[in-house]
Amino acid sequence: MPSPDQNAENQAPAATTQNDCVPHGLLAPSIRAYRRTCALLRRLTLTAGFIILAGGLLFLRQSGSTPTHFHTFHGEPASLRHLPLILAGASHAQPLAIIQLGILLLIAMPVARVAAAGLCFALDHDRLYTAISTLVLAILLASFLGHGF
Amino acid sequence: MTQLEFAGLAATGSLLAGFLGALAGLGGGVVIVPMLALAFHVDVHYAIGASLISVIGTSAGAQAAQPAIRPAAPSALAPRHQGFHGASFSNLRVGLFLEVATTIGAICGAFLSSSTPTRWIAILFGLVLLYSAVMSIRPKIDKPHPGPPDPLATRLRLNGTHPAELPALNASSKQPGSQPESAPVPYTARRVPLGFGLMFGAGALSGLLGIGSGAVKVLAMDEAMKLPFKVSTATSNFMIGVTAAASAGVYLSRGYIDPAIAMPVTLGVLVGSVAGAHVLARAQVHSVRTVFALVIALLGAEMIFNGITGGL
Repeated sequence: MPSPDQNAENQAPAATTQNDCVPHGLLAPSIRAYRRTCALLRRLTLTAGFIILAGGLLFLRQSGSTPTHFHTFHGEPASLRHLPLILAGASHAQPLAIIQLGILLLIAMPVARVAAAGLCFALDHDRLYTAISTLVLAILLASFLGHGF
Repeated sequence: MTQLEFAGLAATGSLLAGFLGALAGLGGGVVIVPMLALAFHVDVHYAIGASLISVIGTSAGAQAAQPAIRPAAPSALAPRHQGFHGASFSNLRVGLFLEVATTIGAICGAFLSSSTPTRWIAILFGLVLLYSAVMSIRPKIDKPHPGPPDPLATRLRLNGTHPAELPALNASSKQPGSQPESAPVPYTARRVPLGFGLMFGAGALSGLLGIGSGAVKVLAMDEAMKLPFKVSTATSNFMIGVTAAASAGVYLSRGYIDPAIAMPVTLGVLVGSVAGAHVLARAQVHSVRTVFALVIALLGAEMIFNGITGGL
């Protein structure tokens, strides 16, 4: 079996500082926009991680010693299933609502990435792929909005 | 078990899963459900919900730590002078086009998951684990695929180029070494409808089982569409998060996503997979890959056994 391309991997960090996340398919006008979006999403992902961590620590401090009931499925209460209620809970510093808010932000990352790709294709005047991105975005939003989100 | 104990143990297990999953190039998501269900006796639906969120987290984290995370595939013989040129291997057009299939599939799968009995989910999960184990140890060498591209691929402009990093394997082509900065390598896509159909299946499995189903995605792009291995792996990494997000809405509204379970699992997998990717960039990991494949195969067998006996 061939060995992994270690040498190439080692060179990667130096080479990837400028166009690390630009995939094939974008044209010159949109590449900068895509790169900027990547940087923004990177920060938002980190933020989501910290929100989950903060909510988690708060949760464990408040109810770390209560026993778990994960063996049987009850389904989450409405307050942890709908965005307005989650936002309300998080604003009252309810730990589980804060965690759920971080999770929602994490779920939003790939959706934002598709939206960004669509905008980049629009910048490139690539009609076909602007339409395909919009279609994927519509499917994603339908799965959220279709459920009393 | 108290919440604190659960969080500590689940975070540790997820950290390890994410770390080894990244080293093996599979993603840790695939072992989260068996870990939660078999070791912690968490209800399968909660386990699937937590796993799905960890998959989204890993995908977002992988893209956040992009320079370190490369397609985990060992490719043949890359000499020192032909490195990465910084450009990504992923193909955005292929990814977005196939996401039409994976997102619709994921929503269908997520709807099916509540009406599918736990034992069937366990058996199907076991089969996917066994399949992933086989896929992870299979040699990753691109064979040349002579023949014209699919006319549909040409119309959809799915054919592309990837950064050169493979030296020519046969002596007849231009001398390696003479061109340190070699031109991008063109590739074509074949059998687009078959790939699209398989992607619907990959999406449905992702929605049904709360996994990234990267192994099935790579199969669709690799075997059906004949894309180069690094292109299919990188594009699949891009697609996994989007596919998982499509079923997340359904999971959330059905109450599958318990923050107390998802929190330690997501954080653990996220940290573990980023660390694993950093190690992967520096170390040779063949033994890890084999060990992880064995672990996955054993977990798969145990899931199938538990599914048949109704032990979950």
